[in-house]
Order: sequence, then structure tokens, then C-alpha cells
Amino acid sequence: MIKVLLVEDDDLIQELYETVLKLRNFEVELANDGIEGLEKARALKPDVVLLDVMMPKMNGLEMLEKLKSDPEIKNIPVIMLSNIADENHIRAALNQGALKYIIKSEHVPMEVVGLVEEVLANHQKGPQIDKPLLTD
Amino acid sequence: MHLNTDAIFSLPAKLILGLKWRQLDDATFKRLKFLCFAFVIAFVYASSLFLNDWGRNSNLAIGLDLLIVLCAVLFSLIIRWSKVYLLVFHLSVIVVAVVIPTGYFAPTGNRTVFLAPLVLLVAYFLLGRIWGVFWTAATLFANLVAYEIGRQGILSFPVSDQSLAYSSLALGMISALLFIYEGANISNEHRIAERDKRLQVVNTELNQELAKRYKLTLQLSVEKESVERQVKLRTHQLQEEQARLQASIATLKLGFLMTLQDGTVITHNPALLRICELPSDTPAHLVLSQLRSKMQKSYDLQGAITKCMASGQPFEASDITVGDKFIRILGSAIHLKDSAEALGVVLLIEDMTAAKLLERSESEFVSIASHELRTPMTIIQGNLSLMEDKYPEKFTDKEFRHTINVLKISSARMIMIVNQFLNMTKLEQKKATFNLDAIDIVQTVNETLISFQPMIDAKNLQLKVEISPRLPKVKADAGRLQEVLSNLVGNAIKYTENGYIEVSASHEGNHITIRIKDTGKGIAAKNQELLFHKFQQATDNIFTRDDSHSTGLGLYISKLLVEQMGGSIALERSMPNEGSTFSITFPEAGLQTMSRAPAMK
Repeated sequence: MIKVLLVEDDDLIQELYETVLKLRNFEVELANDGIEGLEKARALKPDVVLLDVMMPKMNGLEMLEKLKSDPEIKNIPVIMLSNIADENHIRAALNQGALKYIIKSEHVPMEVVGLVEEVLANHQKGPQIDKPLLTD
Repeated sequence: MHLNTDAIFSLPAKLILGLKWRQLDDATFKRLKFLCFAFVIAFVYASSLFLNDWGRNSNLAIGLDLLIVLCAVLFSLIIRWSKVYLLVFHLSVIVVAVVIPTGYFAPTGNRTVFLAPLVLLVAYFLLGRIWGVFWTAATLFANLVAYEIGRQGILSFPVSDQSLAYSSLALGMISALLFIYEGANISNEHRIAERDKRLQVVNTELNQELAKRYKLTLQLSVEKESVERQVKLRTHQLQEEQARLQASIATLKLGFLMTLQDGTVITHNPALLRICELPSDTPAHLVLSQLRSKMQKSYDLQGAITKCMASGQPFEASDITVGDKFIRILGSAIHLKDSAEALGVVLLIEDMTAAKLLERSESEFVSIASHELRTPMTIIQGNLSLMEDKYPEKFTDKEFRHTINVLKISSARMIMIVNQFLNMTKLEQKKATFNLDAIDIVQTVNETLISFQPMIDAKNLQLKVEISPRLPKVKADAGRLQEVLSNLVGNAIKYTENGYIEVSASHEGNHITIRIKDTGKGIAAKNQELLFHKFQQATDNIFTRDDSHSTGLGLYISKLLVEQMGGSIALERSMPNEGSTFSITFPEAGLQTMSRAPAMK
């Protein structure tokens, strides 16, 4: 089973994704903020980290930076999972080494899980950005 | 030999008149010429008689005497030079009254010898000339004596008649000289009297003139006073007016600046200095230049002023930054009534910072709110999507499925609305990015229309596409252009029940214009102005909805997108119940026109 570390402060979102991930046979660990996320990343060494951006104590971008500068955990694939579609954030995250930046509201959770599986499968093939679909 | 006869005849006249002959005019001189000549001849002959021959030609002597007198009288009549006249007269008198009688008549015992001197004596007496009286008396005495001697032979000493003649001649000459002197005085006095008379006349005339002038001067000074009073009054009125104007300008909240064509600042108010962050004691002549340098990063003030004065057209500029503030400038040229030339320019400066910040905070608010909303919406949508997996048995119930579906559609719509808001605020805050590229219109239009085909078929409408085959490429962002086209085509379909939708594109000048025409319900003229505004639907009441599923942001967003890509969008025409035609225009790719896209990759 692939171990996922879900770092997200909103409990309902946590619940939602946890349910879906478990449905697809992922093992799920939870963290509520960046600090807890780093601790758990070091302790549990997950196979992939799903990282929200807007969090208390330490936000997702900061945690990403710290994670990527820690030799023990820097190679863990990180996928950003956020509702902020700001180009600057997206670019910053990808430059820091995140493999994908998924905008939550654009996909139903099952799709998100599908994307995660895709990323893990293509792990070596470089960063991608998920464009928001804007419709009238 | 050519004799100058004129010179000979003129000589006597010149001798007698002396240097004054030049002062005579030619006519007078001519008359005098012969007169003097005759006189001189007579005089010379008379003298020669006197010197040589006493006794013989008495008649001739008388004749010559008369001639001499005649000449003298005529002479005096012709020219009224008293001096010369008197000299001539006197000479002739000497000859007539003294020389000849004394020398000639007296010794012969002729009593007519007394006549001339007697006449002269009376004449002098009447004239009041004492000297004349004396010398004629002397002459008379001398003649008497000579007469007696000639008659009686009384004197015992041998007094020759000639020496008698000589002595009386001498007497006569002396008194003649005296007389001449007097005569000169008389004549001077005459001249002076005449001159006095003339001066009197001139004086009187002058006094009259002066009196007239004085009267005029008085009138003038009265007028002047009246004018001065008027001027004072007018000046006071103007000053009052100016004070009122200045007070009004000073209390304006808007910044006010009036400048002449050469850049001199006539008026400015404290608000201007305050708004533009200039020190309140900035001297007037520096205000304009300071203003220019404050704005130079975002706006060419001098350029705008020059253009305004040249064209006479007022101008407006927004979003100019001065320090931390946003200002708006309105400029207008000052003209004299019928003059085409501008005297100067008036500037009004408005501090838009508050409005701008409000606008920005509104936009930011919407942006933040939208982001916040996404989270719960994700949750709702997410959970809805899991329903089938979580409760498979419940899903067999048709009602249950329908309810879940409704919830899914609604939450999807909510997400769509929020995305639209976010799209809009991004464009408003100029934070959107565009990939400008040379785009093939045909391709973009066709791609857009594919997704609308089902809708068109469902409503039984016709679709016409008229794109010139060799259209040049357009400089735009492909995705964004599709958004705009989707909006316009979607609207066209939405508002049309029968007829057709036509999409055309043509090359006009340096631009490509795409038109979307429909045969739908059209837009009333009064609502056309509101079309591209936020939340406006094509009705005048913001709460009246055209369509239950529309936010009213479509055209607004399309406008922001089109303009930020450097193009323009407009409603070309629309008639109620006939349909509408919208157009979007873009510059040709490869030509550099004013690009308003904020950021380009």
C-alpha cells in the first residue's frame, strides 16, 4: 500500500480526501499544519505528500521549502493540493520541487486521486501544472 | 561789344537804394530803375548848372527842379522806405529850395525865391519836426539876405553870391542830415506803431485762442475726473469679482491650476498642492514644473497640455500616480470668444486614491471571498461525488438519484460562479497573464463553435460562418479569445428563438474584426449603454433577470479580456426583435499597436 501524508488544516477536506484515498487503497496519514507535516514526514517517510497551501503555523510553501532542504526527506514526491490559483504561488511551488499543483475545486476527489496515481506513475517525468478551467 | 544796358539803367537805383535793392521784387525795381535814372540825370544837370552857369537857363532850371520833386514824390509812393525817401526828398529839396534859388534867384531879385522855403517851413511845422522848422527858417533867412544883398548892395564886405549859396547849402545839408536822422526815427516809430498794431491784432487773436483752449482744458479736466471715477469704480468691481473667484477656487476640494500658453501659472489652489504632495509654500512659478516632475513616471503632463492647446479639445487622464496617490486630471483649453488660439489651460486634479482603494478592496474582497468559498464548495462537491460509492443501495431509488444530481449541478454551478468572480477580479486587478501569439482566427472560431453545435441544433437555429480565407493572423491569447467567443456565441444562442447565428471575420485596415450576429430579441437603445458593465443584464433593473442562469458578468469579463489583449469590443448594432451584432477587433499580428496586456509570457 502506498503511504500518503495529507497535510491539510480543514478537517472536512481531510475527511473527504481520506475517504477517497482509502477507497483506492492508499494508506493515509494526516497532519494539520506545516510543522506537524514536517515532523510526520521525517518520522513516517511517506511515499507521497499531498500538501495544502493555506495552513496555520506554517503554510504549505514554507513546509515545501523546508522539506526539500532536508536531505532525509527531500526526495519524497510532493503534490500541492490547494484552492489558490495564483500564478506566483503555483510557480513558486513548482520551482521548489512540487511535482504537480492541483486546484481542489476543479476536480471531484476521485479525479484528484487519479491525478495522484498518474503523478506517482510518471514520477521522473518533471513538473506539471493543472490549468484552471474557466467557463461561463 | 555787347553793352549790358540793363546794368547801366540799374546803377542809379542801386546807388540810391544801397544794399536794400535786393529786397525789392522785380516789378517794383523796374519802376524804380527809370525813376532813379531820371532823377540822377536831372540832379547832375542841375548841379552842373549850379557850378557853371547861373544866369542863363532859368526855365530849364525850374523844369529840372520840378522833375526832381516829382521823382522824389513818386519814389516815396512806390516804396515806403521812409529813410530813403527822406534822403531823396531832402536832396531834391536842397536843390530846389536852397541851391538854385539862393544861388540863382536871390541875386536876381526874384521874389519867388522865398516860396519854396516858406512852404517847407509850414510843412515841417505841421509835421511837428522842429529841426525842419529851424533849417528852413535858416534857409529863408539866407535867401532873404541874399535877396537884399542882390537888391540893395547893403553888405559892405564882399560876400559873393556863390559863397552865400555855398553856406546856405552847407546849412541845408547839416539840417538835412539831422532831418534824416529824425526821419529815421519817425519812420522807425511808424514801423513800430505799425508793428504794434499788428502785434495787437495777433495778441487779440492769441488771447481768443487761449481763452478757447482754456475752456477746452476745463472741459477736459472735468471729463477726466469723470472717467477716473468710472475707472475706480470698475476696478473695484473687478477686484471684488476676482476676490470672489479666488475664494471659490481656494476652497475647492479639487486641485485647480490655470496656466498661460508660455507656462506662467496664473492661479492655483491649496488643494492642488495638497493632492500632489507639493509643499504648501511652493512659489507659483514653480508649481507647474514641480507637478510635471511629480508625474513624469506615469504621465507626460506637458505633452497633454500642449496637445490640448493645439487642438482645443479637453482631455482626461486617469490612474496617474503621484507618490502613493492615484489622481485623475481633467484639462481644458481657455479661449477668447472667437479666437482659435488657446490663451492657456485649466487643469482640475482629483484625488482618486480613496475611490481606487475602494475599488481595489472591493476586488480584493471578492477575490478573497471567492477563494474562501472554494473550500466548502470543494467539500460539498466532493462528498456529492462519493454518494454513489458510499450508498450504492440508495442509488437505485430514482428520486434519490435525482436529488443528488440536483445537488451536484447546483454545487457545480456555484463553483462556476466563484471561478467567474475570480477570473473577473484577476482581470480587474491586472493580475491576469496572457500568452499573446499569432493566432489563426478560423481555427479558434471553429473550435469554439464545435461545443455550441448541440445547443444550436436543439433550438433549431441556423449557423452561418463567413470568414475570409486569407485573413492574416491575429495577435491574441488563444484560450482567452475562445472564452470571449464562447461568451458572445453563447449569448447569441441564448437570446435567439428563431433564425440564425452568423459568425464572420474580416480584414479592415490593420485590424481584424470578428462579428457575431443573431436574429434574436435585440437590445433596447436605453439599455445598450449598460451592456459591458458589471452585473448588468440587458434590462434596466438590476434585479430583473434576463436569464436565470447568468451572473451578468459575461460581457464585462469579455471586455476586460479583449481590452487587455489590445483589442476592442462593441455592440455594433441592435434593434429590438430584429437581433444584435457584436464585434471584437484585434490588431494584426506583426504590427505593433498599443498593447494593454499587463504581462506577457
